[in-house]
Amino acid sequence: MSLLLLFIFLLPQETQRSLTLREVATYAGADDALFIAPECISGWSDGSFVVSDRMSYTLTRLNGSGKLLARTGARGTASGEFRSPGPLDCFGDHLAIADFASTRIQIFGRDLTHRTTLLSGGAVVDLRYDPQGGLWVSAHTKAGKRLLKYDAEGTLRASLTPRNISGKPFHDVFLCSISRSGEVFLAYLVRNVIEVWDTSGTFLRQFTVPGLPARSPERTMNREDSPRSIRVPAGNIVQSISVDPVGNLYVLAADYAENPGRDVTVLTPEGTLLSLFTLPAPASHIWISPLGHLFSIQRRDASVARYAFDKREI
Amino acid sequence: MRTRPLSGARSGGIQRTFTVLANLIVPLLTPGIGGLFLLSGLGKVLALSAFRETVRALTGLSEPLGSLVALTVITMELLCGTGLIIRRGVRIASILLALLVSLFLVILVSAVYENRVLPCNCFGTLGVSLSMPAQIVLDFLLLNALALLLFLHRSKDRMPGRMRPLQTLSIVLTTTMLLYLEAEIVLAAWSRSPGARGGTLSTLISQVEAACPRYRSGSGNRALILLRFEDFNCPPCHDDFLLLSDSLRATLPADALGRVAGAVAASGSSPDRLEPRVQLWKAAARVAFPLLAVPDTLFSEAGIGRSTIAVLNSAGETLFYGTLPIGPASRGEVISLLSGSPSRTAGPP
Repeated sequence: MSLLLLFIFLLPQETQRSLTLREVATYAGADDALFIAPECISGWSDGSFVVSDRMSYTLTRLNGSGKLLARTGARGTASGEFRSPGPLDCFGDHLAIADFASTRIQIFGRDLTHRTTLLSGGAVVDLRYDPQGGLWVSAHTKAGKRLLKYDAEGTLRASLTPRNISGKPFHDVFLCSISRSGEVFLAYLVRNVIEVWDTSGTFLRQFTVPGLPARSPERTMNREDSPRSIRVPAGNIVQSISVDPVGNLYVLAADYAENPGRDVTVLTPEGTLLSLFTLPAPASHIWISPLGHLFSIQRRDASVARYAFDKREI
Repeated sequence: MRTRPLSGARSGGIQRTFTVLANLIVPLLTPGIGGLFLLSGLGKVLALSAFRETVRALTGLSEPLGSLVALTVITMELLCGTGLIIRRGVRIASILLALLVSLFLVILVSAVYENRVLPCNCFGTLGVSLSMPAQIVLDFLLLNALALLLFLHRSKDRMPGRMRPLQTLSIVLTTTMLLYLEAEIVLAAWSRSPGARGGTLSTLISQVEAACPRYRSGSGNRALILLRFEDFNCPPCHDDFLLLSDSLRATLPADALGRVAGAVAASGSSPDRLEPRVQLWKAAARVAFPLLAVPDTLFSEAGIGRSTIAVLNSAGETLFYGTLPIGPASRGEVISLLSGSPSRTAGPP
């Protein structure tokens, strides 16, 4: 018996980290009415960040203390205007922003002046810059869902078909996030699969997020424009993903977690569970800043919260 | 064979009554119901493609399966209707038709509760168009008539003479309960049907009228747009509303635009907190009619689960009722209702 206990004690165990969140700031709640419907967030290592707002059709840049640095955008289709600003990412001195579910990606400077517009090969679901400035786009192309890579000039350099593409339109939607070391993480919205690729377009591995179901259940949706009903996922498995400065992946669980929109699982790039924590309020999007702070968009009151981590090995 | 005089006399009396009733009613019911189904079946044969589309809309079946179901329904109506008229196989015809009518009822009631409007092609080319509550009432009447026919036809042969008081009581109680249930379903469906929405929207309309004097003073058809803030997480809903808003701004004259207003609610958010966001969005989206933040409870009370557009005439009757995204055809209908004749009467959906 004592030998068994000794064996268990000596057995190498995975180190898990208990992460405690400390709220640093909240930007523009409903009372301030700075945002109407914040959609996505990204920023730079100087602490400033940009928020895309789907219903004010704007980009807003704030510094770490919440001071408004710049704002641009209006409803429309001209340069610098938006139909519904969605996913965005910052790199170097510029940022890329896509109109939700459209092919249009606009490039802005850090001061939010419009620089150029490029058209993606399909409706953009998500986009991220890699460490070399290549722009990776999760897109719904005519051929299905693809991962497209554009260079800094907007030339298509690669079109990749992720490993788990099934051909079913709703099942194949995936988000992407890229680490500083150049690992490209793809997370399917309605299936519990994370794929990891490198920036040269080579598939590296895949893993699942512990504690989440394999896939979303389905429901029948009646279409008003067609007599045929269709089967659609009843909810999402993953809400949002982000990679921290050391390359760990943060997965915000969606509808099937114990705390929907609040539970965040932290995994190593190899998929080993590091930690699990719960956000104080439901979030629609998370982003880990270059300074290691977690930003969350709280759709209910149209605010952005910034948290710092207090870490402890367990 | 000896019989007990007292109970025999009583049962004989009941049997006589039933026989008289059956002899009176069955000859009236069989050609009446049979004729109705025969007429309905013939009308559907003459408008086969329209009926096939209706079946597909009701069931969501594929084209071949939908056609098969449509043909089955028509065949059943024709055969069973003829059977009732010539009094052949009355029992089996009544049972089959009752099953068919029950199926129609389930589809109709569920459609009303899901805020879906189903086209009425019950009589095919005969051009009889019934509103959904009217279809439900007609189907319940038919179901009751078929049940009565089945009962009397059966009782004529053998039932009443052997029926005990407890059996009679249970039949009366069951019938009462079923009729009560039917009445409840009809009333609930009537109050939820698009044509009756004007009544349930009255509190919301009053709120909007209080805040927007132009909306109150306008004569003619009015549009009330009820927006759930959460629905704008769905880009098609967002785009569809903006397309409608742009079309209204571009096509309606100022007086007609004054007869459009919107109320916005968000779950868990008070109007005071929502109002600044609504007004910012209204300005950013260039919405040309007033939008008012209202308590979410008003939407719940009116049964508004999803963002909805209603067009009402000056009498408060609903001319159009649709949930976002309504699509280009319905958008055209809304614009035409608002820009057309001052007031149109509510017709069947």
